[in-house]
Amino acid sequence: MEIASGVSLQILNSDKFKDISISIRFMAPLNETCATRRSLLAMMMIDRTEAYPSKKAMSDHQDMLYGVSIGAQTVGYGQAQVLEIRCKTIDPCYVEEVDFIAQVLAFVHEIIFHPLLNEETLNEAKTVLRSKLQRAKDDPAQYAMIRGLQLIGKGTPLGVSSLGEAEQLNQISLADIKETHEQLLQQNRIHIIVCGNIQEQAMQELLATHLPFNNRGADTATHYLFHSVQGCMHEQEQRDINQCSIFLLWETNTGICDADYYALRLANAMLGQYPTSLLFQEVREKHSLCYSIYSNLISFDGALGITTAVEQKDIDQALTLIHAQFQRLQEGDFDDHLLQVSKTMTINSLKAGKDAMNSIIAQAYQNAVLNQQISVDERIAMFMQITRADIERVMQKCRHCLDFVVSGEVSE
Amino acid sequence: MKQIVNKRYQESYDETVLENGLRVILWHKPHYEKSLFMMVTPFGAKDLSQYDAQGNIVHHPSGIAHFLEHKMFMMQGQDVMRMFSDMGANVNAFTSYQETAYYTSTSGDPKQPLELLLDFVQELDIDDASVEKEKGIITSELHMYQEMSDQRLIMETYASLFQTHPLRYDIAGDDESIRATTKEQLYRCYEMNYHPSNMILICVSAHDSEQLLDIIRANQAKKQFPPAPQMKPVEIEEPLAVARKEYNFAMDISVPKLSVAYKLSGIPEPYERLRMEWMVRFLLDANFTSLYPQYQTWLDKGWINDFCGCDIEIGEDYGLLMFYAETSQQAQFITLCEECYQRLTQGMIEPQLMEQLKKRYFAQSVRAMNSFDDIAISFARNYFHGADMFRTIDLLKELDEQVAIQAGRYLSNRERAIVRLLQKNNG
Repeated sequence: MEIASGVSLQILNSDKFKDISISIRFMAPLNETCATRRSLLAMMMIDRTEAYPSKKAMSDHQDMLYGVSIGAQTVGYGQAQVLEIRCKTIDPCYVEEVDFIAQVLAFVHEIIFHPLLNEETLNEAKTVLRSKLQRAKDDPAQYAMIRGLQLIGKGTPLGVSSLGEAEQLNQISLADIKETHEQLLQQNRIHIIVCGNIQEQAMQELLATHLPFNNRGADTATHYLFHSVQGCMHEQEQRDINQCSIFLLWETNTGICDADYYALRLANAMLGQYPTSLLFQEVREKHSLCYSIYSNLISFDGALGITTAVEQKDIDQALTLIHAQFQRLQEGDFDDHLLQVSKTMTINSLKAGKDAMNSIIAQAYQNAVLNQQISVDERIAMFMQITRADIERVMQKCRHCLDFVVSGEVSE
Repeated sequence: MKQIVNKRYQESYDETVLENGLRVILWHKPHYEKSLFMMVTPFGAKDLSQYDAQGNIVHHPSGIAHFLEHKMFMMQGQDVMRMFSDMGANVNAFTSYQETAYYTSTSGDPKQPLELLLDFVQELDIDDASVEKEKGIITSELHMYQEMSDQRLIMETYASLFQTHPLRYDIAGDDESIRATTKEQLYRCYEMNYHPSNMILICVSAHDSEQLLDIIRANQAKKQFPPAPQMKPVEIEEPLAVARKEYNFAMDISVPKLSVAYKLSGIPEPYERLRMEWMVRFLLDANFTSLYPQYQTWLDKGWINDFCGCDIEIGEDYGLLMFYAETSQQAQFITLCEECYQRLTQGMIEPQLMEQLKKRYFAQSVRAMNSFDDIAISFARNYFHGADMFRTIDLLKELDEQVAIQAGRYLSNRERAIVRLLQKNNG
């Protein structure tokens, strides 16, 4: 339901969880400048507020609210970036306070409307973000993916990290952060999703009191089809490491709202999501080249990536095998059993998603963003209908665009 | 079948022991789609020496529990992971220092995956060739973790603290121990530690307990097991002194990290141990997190950043308290850790702070019971330690000033080890 123009609310009632989640998501276009500002703002919002102006005051109050957890993150949704504030709290049936949820929402109000935005908190957020970005680069596997996407995605949203860029940090002023916060409150499309054992009417009234958002403008564009402006890249970088990390990318040419999308998801499952998948069976089980290998869809960008780590001497063999598995799906060189098993696994994981609050909320949010109302059962029905020909067709639409290897230093 | 209902936490389970000694827990989770089944043996990476039935000491190579976990996934020449996938079920396993666990989850009919879990864990099917083939995958896994700087820091800290305790080895062992592991050693380990009477099966499901138990009973009735092995662990005599007071190593990282760790003694009695662990955790929260007023100053001065924390772990025969951080100002960090540790030994905590932390951890423990994995792992660990899972949360109510003072005494006069992870180029 729309509680204001551009502000939607979904209440997902379920009595099987011991906690209540409140997710508030602010959407804006994804670009390098805004991404970094919003990434800083997300950290500052949950760090301190005007009413709780120190970390200790925040922690003390959270403890009094039974350790209510408050998280903030920025996530890319194709051409958009979402800043999410997530509050998770114990179900009030386990506590003595009668107005417990009202107290929690009053705290969420402080975090969203009155974060402590000053030079001191900004400088600290910059230091923390710089460290986070650097730490991600230190891990060869994460670095391979981040750097790979940056290289191939140059000039497109895929190349922009929703966490932000270290190079941007020095230019960002307190005025920029305050302006970004104001835009968040006044202009961003907002989705509020609440999940748990909830009395709907009472919750709606509390939300109206504590999250009084104004009307706002039109939707932000999200999903698109990524096309590399660099052509197909084969890049290798050297680090002083022992195990090599590999990241590969394909343009899928199938959008998240396309009729073929579910076939692509199933093809991805057959390629590298389960122990039965071609990558796991061929690269790990048959050739013992790696411990971990998987493929994943970047659905809102229309891209598909593969990640693994191998010994230096095995790089060429691993790349050859990975490409061969991709080709097998394109040419229909797989047995019906793999199709059937991947279907069953995918369907069962959709069912299992009904048992996890994060999955329930993610599903509801995707529906809201895409203006669709597809239930889990309807998704299952779509997976059931997929044929071998569908798999071949969606895989043939894919175009390889990146092989990126982070290797150890080659001794001379 | 005995039924346990806990009204405070709104949870219940049935418990029974089968004729072959297998303990079965059937945890009720109404309205859930999925089921989780977990089989656990208290044989983990720390069990490198055991007495056999004749009283002889059997030594195992380091990493063998983990190697065995990998090799369990073949049954009658077939890949067990594929068999589970064919049923639409997920399967996985983990080895810790304390135990090895195998688990499957499914949102479909639980009968086949439950039976397959029992079947593959109750049969070891290996030959020399398959053991050799697995070595590449296990070595690759070991190297993957060794490339993770945080993991390496923890491993080197354990190696610095312990002189004889197997915690000084990586769970997976090392390149050499993996290479040297044989089929015969794996069979011997299996026979000593995977008898039904050594294991526990935990089912977390909305399905009817009686029906699940019928499936389990029928499966077990088809199998013959040798008499339960009369095996017991060899007591580990760990000196109070640390193995290395200072140790430096280097990796390709951009900011150095370090750990400052204190070696504690083990506490054999389970509730005393858990009560002490809760209390030390409270003291740490009060003195080394955002609840400590000076914490902001440490951040402002750049002595710590967001990668900074502390941990306490107490076992029957070991204990450790560790501070860690990513920082270039290592001398300052060591000083603040030492000052913090001295405060901990005073065993002082404000009553108000004690009450708020009780609220925090009560809620955290209740919320953890949303997770099927957490329920199964927590139940198994507590069972093998002779503790009741609900009682471990109730212990929070027993914490008071006296327990805090006891904790302070427990922490007093301990040896310290410092491990520095430096940048490779500047190392």
